[in-house]
Amino acid sequence: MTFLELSSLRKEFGAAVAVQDFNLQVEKGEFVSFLGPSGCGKTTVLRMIAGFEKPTRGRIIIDGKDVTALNANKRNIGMVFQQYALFPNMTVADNIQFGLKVAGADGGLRQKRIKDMLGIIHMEQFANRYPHQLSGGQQQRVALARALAIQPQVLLLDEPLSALDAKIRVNLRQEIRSIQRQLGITTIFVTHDQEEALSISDRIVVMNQGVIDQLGTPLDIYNRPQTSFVASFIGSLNVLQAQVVDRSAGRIRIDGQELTTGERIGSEADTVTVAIRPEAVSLNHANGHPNSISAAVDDIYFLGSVVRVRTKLKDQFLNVDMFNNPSMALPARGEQVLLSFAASAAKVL
Amino acid sequence: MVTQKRPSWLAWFWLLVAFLYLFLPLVAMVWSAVTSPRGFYLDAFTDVIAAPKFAETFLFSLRSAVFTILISALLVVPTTYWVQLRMPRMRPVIEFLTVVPLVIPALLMTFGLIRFFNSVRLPNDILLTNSNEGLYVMLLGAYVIISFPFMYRAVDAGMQAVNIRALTEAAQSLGAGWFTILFRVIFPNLLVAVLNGAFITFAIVLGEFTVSSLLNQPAFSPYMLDLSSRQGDQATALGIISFVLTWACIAAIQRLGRGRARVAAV
Repeated sequence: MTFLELSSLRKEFGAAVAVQDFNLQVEKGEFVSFLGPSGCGKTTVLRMIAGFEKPTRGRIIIDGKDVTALNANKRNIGMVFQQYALFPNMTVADNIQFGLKVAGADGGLRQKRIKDMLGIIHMEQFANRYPHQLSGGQQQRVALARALAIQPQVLLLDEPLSALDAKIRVNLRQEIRSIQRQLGITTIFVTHDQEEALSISDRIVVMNQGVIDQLGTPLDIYNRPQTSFVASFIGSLNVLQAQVVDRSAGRIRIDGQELTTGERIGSEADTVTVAIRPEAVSLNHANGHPNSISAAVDDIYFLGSVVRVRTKLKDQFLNVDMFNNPSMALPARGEQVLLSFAASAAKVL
Repeated sequence: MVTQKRPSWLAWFWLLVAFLYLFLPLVAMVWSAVTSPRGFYLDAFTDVIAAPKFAETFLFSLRSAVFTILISALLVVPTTYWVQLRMPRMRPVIEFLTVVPLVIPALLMTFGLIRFFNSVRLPNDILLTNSNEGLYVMLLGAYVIISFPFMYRAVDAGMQAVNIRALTEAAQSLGAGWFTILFRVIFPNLLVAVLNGAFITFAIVLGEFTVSSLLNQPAFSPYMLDLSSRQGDQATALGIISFVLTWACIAAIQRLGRGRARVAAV
């Protein structure tokens, strides 16, 4: 059942249109990420849900109630900000109970909620510390606890991990997901980091220039991008220009070498754009795939767990990703290699 | 390893010049107040402190300073907050307005105030300018205007340092209304800035002469001038006492806000 519904949302700032025709239904307890480059409108949508921006058009419905015209302080929505936004003049405990005090909750309930929240974020011993006495990761945990203490209907996370260093980001995103599952709270997470979105979301909304480009599960978004923007934005991708050779057989030609694609393609002699994930290509292993093309090794990049081999066809480049394995034999620069991949791996955009 | 450069003799020389420039007049003042052809004496100080007008005028200015600080803070903090939050385009206009009290002489401003409020009547049908209460209100109004540039700039700088937008939105998302946001989130986090503005306001009010004299108010500064025309050594002693008292009051305000300010400053 739909718990949060955004219907035909539009937001204009003067002559600029930040968001247009935005439609989304979110189930209760679902974790949905808004993913897109800076300026794509994802934060504007989040701010409209929170009540900080009034939509130019459209409706926001939470649990069957239209909250479009409701002020931010009447919506019962928890929000975690990129810059933590903890109240510097209050201790951790006071920050957590701020919303409860505003709501007029009695002392007993407030103390219980503080204890519960500190337990959830594993910071029981920090109740009397001030924000400046905490690390960035701890501050963001407290911000999360503060937002959850009021038992909001919806939790909004506005790039909450952006200001943290890489290792803490990974730990905290797992913790956020675990807490969200534990409490079953409907959550919207805004990020420009595809890895973050792919790793913790039930569904991802990929946004570009104020509109939804694609909506789907992380696997859908990654494996079946529906637009060239999604294909290029999510993961790394080889985007190649090809000519259609045989429409019915799905045969195309890239830099003089013929390949087969499992996709529907245009008319003969048309130029089409083909996208192939680097990890879908095998190096010097045909694996029974019909697509085998030869290329020269241009460069090799060591990326930790992955080794990326950049190859050159004739005019175009094609990257191949391989898991790092101490026993693997890497080709030399300039060496001719055979690249193979499944027909279904070659997506026509 | 980072090696610290030793200050040259030239730096010490200029420091000494600055020190002498600032403190020699003070030393001269103290010297002239405690010496006479008869030798060392403290009569000027004891006479000044014993005079009933001293306590009366000092307390009057002290009370006026406290009221001015309160009114300024209540006026400037919400205004600056609103401008930064909702009307950032108005900031240059407000900044221009803050220069006006510095440009217009206090004399002109007081005459302007008197002319403007001359037709205003109190509920008991007495002209505002014909009652002591009315004149006192005008005095406070003038003090607020005079101290406005200093209070505004201090508060504005404080707001720039704190992310007031994020704090406001965080408080809103937790259900807080504007009153709660202003008095439980914004004001406490601007305590250092407000205190900075308060110090300057305090010093201005205690030393202000033109407005209080023209409005015929029993303030500290007109009393000092009056005394200097009659008793030069007592006026000097009063000047020294006023220095010490002003510093003592500022230290007291600072001490009062130190605990909270330390937290809010982060």
